[in-house]
Amino acid sequence: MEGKGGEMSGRAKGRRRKITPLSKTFEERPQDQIHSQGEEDVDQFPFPFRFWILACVQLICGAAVYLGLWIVPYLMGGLSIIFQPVETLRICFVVAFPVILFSFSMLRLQPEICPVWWAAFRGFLSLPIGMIVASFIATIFGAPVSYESAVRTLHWGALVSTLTVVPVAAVAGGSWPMWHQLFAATKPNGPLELALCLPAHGAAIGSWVGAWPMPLDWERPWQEWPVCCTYGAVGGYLLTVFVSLGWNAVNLRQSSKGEEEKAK
Amino acid sequence: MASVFVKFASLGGLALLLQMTGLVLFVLGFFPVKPTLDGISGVESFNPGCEFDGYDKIDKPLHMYGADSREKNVGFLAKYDRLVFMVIDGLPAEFILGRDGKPPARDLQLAMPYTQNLMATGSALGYHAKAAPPTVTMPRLKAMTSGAIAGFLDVAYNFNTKELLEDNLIDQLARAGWRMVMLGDETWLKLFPNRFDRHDGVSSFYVKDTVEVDNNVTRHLDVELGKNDWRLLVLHYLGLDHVGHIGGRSSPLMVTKLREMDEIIARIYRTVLSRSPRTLLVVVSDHGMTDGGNHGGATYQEADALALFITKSFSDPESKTAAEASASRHHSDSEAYQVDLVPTLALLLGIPIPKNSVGALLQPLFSSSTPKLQLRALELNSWQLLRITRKRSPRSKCIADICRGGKMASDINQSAFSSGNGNEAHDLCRKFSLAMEKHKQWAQSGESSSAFEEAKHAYLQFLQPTSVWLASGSTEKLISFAVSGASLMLLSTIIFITGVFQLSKTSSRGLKSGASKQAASPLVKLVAIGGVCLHSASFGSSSFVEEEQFTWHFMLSTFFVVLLRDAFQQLKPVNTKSGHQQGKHDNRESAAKRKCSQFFQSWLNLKSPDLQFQDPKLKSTVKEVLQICLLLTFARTLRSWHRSGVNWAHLPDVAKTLENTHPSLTAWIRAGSLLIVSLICRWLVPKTLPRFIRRVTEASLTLTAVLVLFYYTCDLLRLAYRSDIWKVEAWATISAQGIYLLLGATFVSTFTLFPWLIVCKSGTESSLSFKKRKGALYVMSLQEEPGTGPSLQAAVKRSMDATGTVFLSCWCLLQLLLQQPVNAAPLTLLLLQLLLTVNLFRTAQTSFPRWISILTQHWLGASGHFGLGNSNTLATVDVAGAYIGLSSHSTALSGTLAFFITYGSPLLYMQGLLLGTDQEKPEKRKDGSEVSENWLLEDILLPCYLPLAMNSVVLTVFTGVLYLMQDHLFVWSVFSPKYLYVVATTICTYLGTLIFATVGGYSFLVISKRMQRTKNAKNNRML
Repeated sequence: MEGKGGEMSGRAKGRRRKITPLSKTFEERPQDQIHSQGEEDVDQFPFPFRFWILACVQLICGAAVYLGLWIVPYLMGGLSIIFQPVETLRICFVVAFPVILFSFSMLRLQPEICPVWWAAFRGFLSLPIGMIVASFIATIFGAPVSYESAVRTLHWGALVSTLTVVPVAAVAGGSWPMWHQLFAATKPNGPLELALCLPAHGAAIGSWVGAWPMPLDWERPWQEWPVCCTYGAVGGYLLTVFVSLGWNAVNLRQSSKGEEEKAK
Repeated sequence: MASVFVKFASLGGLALLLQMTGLVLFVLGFFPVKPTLDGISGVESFNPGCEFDGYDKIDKPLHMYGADSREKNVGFLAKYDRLVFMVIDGLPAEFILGRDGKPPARDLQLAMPYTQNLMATGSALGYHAKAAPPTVTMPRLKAMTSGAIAGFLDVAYNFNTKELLEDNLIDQLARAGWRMVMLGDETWLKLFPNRFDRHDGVSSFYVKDTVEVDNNVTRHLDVELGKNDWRLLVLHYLGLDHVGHIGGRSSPLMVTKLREMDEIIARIYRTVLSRSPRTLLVVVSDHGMTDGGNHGGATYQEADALALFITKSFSDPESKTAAEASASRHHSDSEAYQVDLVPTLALLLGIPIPKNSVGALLQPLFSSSTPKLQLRALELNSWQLLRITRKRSPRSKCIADICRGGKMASDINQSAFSSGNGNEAHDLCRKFSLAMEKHKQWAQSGESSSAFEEAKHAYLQFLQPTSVWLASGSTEKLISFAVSGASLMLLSTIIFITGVFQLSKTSSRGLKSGASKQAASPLVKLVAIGGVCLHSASFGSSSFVEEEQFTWHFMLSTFFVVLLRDAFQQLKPVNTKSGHQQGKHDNRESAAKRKCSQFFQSWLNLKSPDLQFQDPKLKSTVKEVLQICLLLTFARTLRSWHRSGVNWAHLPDVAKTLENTHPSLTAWIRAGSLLIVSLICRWLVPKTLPRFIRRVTEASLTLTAVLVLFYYTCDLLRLAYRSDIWKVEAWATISAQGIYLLLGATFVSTFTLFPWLIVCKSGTESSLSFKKRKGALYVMSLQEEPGTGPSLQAAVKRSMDATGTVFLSCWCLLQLLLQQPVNAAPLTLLLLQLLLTVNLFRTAQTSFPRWISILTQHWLGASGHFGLGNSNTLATVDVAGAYIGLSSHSTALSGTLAFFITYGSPLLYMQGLLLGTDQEKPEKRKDGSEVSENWLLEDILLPCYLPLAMNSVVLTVFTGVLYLMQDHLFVWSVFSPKYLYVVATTICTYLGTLIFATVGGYSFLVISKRMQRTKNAKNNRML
């Protein structure tokens, strides 16, 4: 299967985007030609299905975040992010985190050596780190530092790190090349990396954009600290989930077309 | 020499000239100074006529006339002899009068039963007295007493006058011989020093206190209300405003507070008013509040101030009509302007209307007087307004005609047709003459009531629009001036921007040839350019203008976070192919073993074979990341030090907490900051100087620091003992003067001497060996072939660097002296931030183009400007510091000092540009006296061009915004003050660029001369 993936990507080279198998390990990415000899088949699914699995995972995650932020709090006694930010963020986190964690754990790299629960565990471990880093960055950007606000900041940080780092940690663990590839170089390679990278950046840039209305003197409750940034983060996440889905779909079609041509 | 250099330099000079001309034209065209009448209104103001401008002679005080002769002379009689002026700070009129015809909420009505009852019975007459922005206490009190709404530039001119010097009610009353008592907000005492016979000022400092602050006023009431010696009693209650600040409009404390106020009104009514019908109680508020309890802006809620007139005579049976009128008005919306208080009170109390009052009297309050007196009051007010109108539009022919001898309205109508335009002043003038005519007709008709109504109506038809027109501050703008000025500025901006692009293009072309490092990622450039654009775009919103510090800090943080990403990007995993393969082969020996190791790798692979960094790279990346994190933390600390802005300015911040609750800690922090800064200064003293000069520089800087410490001690003593023991005041002044002298001498001698003294010989160079100093900023040892000195270029760079460091030290010490005590720590942070940034760009692994580092410094400077507590309102200009060390009043000197204090941070960073940020580039030139043109362009011209370009972008964009927003609600309260700051920033940028250009040019000239001389000497020797 790996070999096939390599061939395929070799074939797709002329096109806009290189298609690589969903869970190809990054070691062999720079040198597609060099393939490990005799390794067992890593991919558990034939090619066209992989896209659908990824799409389902992404859609489920997006739905979970949407439900968690708007629907579930509303059902639970009419809570809303505007008036009960901490409670709502907590609910959203509780709803979204397990879904994202476990669905991306299914897509882990090297599934043959890394069981699902390990992937889930390392994703879980990344949460506090991501939360602290996100809260630190939010504070640096100007989030207030009083106790009440710090609680909000931490809740926001938990949600944002659920959207950004937890999937990556679940899929790739502490692999520096992967993190570098996704977050420092921002060169996602293949559908899975795109599905990890784009929504994460969407959430981060979304919360950056979401902070802009805060100084306006409209005196609306949603201008309070975590509210519009949460809107921004979730909005950016959902948007980029669909963008990455669409992008992958386009690539899928192109590559399958290429395969058909080849078959002819 | 270099023709490109000359071309760019002259182009820059041209653009600069264009910009200056454009700026002057625009300011002249857009802000004509609002003309005001000089002097004080006297008896002459009771005569019709308009030639009282500049009447400075103090005429015979009014009270010298007897009551009957006064009526004869003046034709007017006071209605009241005593006044209780009760200010309830921040009370929205809505709480008492309701809004849109609806009564106030039930609980608010119940909270003030007595007042509501007074209004229902007609003893009280209430108005929504619309306050003009800024809705804060001091300007509102000025407006309520002088009746003038200052024009924009007047605010700028008078920013440091605390005492109200304009003609005002209190002074008029004092001249009429009234004895006055003031209890409450001490702002009154600042505005009117020595006017009150007895006073007890309370401070509005502790916003948390809602009880004591009012009890301190009320405790005197028993005594004062029992006394008969005063004729004016001013009460200013701050508690309600404090309640609002803590809990907003719907605070649970509000009802309690209103009840307390109601009890006081009841007490005054029962004791003073019921005793005499000739006593008036005026309950006013200076401004309203938003739902959140804030104020300052111009929304309805904030501007909705109260004016409530209470007297016994309203309910007198003979003035039944008035009572009925007021009863019918109850809960209806009687709209008025806050300044209307002034002519109303002046005429009710029988004193001249203050000269520049723009209010129109509130006619219903005069309805119980005789028709003759009513018309007389209207006439007086009309003449008074006409005089201001005449001053405001001196070219109006109609007003000139009236002044010359009173033409008839019919004639004027004709002349109006002939001129045939809708000139407002002309329109008002016509209304005036119509009213005059109606007044005359009334007198001729034997004072018939229908003629009276007509005359009254005609007067009101004149007064109200005139008052609104005058208050709106509409003076004739010179549109052609403004437009041509703006287009000149636009032209200069285009020149600057093209210049910057050309310069950076040439310099990057030069860079590519010898670039060994990775170029900065396009994202950094994107954020830098996008930041400039976003910041300019944000001026379109008044909130972003008010809260500009957020924009700066946000952009700066974004920029540093992007730099952080850039740093991480350097940390590329090195894919060691062979090792990797090897590992794989080894592992294949036992599948189980491999699986196990991969398993661990996969979830916590901190030491996977993939992760092999080049060790020095890792180290420098970590360093870079740490520096950026430190910079970010400093920036955040600076941001929270002062809240700045408008909407959140009242909330607690570090500076307020330190000042209010830990004064001793503040002093310690101040001293500690001084210590740190002086240590840094000592360390900064350039090592490229001969030892003796170094010692002298160090000594003078240390001496300055000691003097600053001495000044601090004097300051503390003065505060601690509140009296001038040991002549502390004089000592402080002397030490401050000594500091000025020392710093000035250091500054000048540094500038003139350093290029001559800088070490140019490589012999001494090797003995200095800075590179060995670990972490030192000055990694500027130059590796040349032995024998030749450093190249001209390197020597000039070194000289500029040395001059820059000493300039920075001088500037920081000066700022430590001038800034308020609480700003000492932010200053230290700013200095550290500057040094860190310079170091970051010097040692970064990516080679950033020079313009990125200049832009960063510019942003840091602008962000620091707000970190030192400045904002875009004029209220934050630190006036107290501007008098340090001045033994006599001098506007020029204190203005300069105020400018230095306000622009401490941007000027610091402009001087920081002298420290070049480029890293060592090996000099491959054989002839050391040659200068590469690229270097000239990049290191000398670009640091001049770029700040000017960025500033001119802001200037031009904001000029455009101001022009478009000239009818905006906030144009006078938000946009115009900001424009003033933009102009001041432009001057600051000019100053910084001047310093840079002069130092650069001078060093260049001196050092090339020196080089020439050594060369000649060498040649001679060889010959």
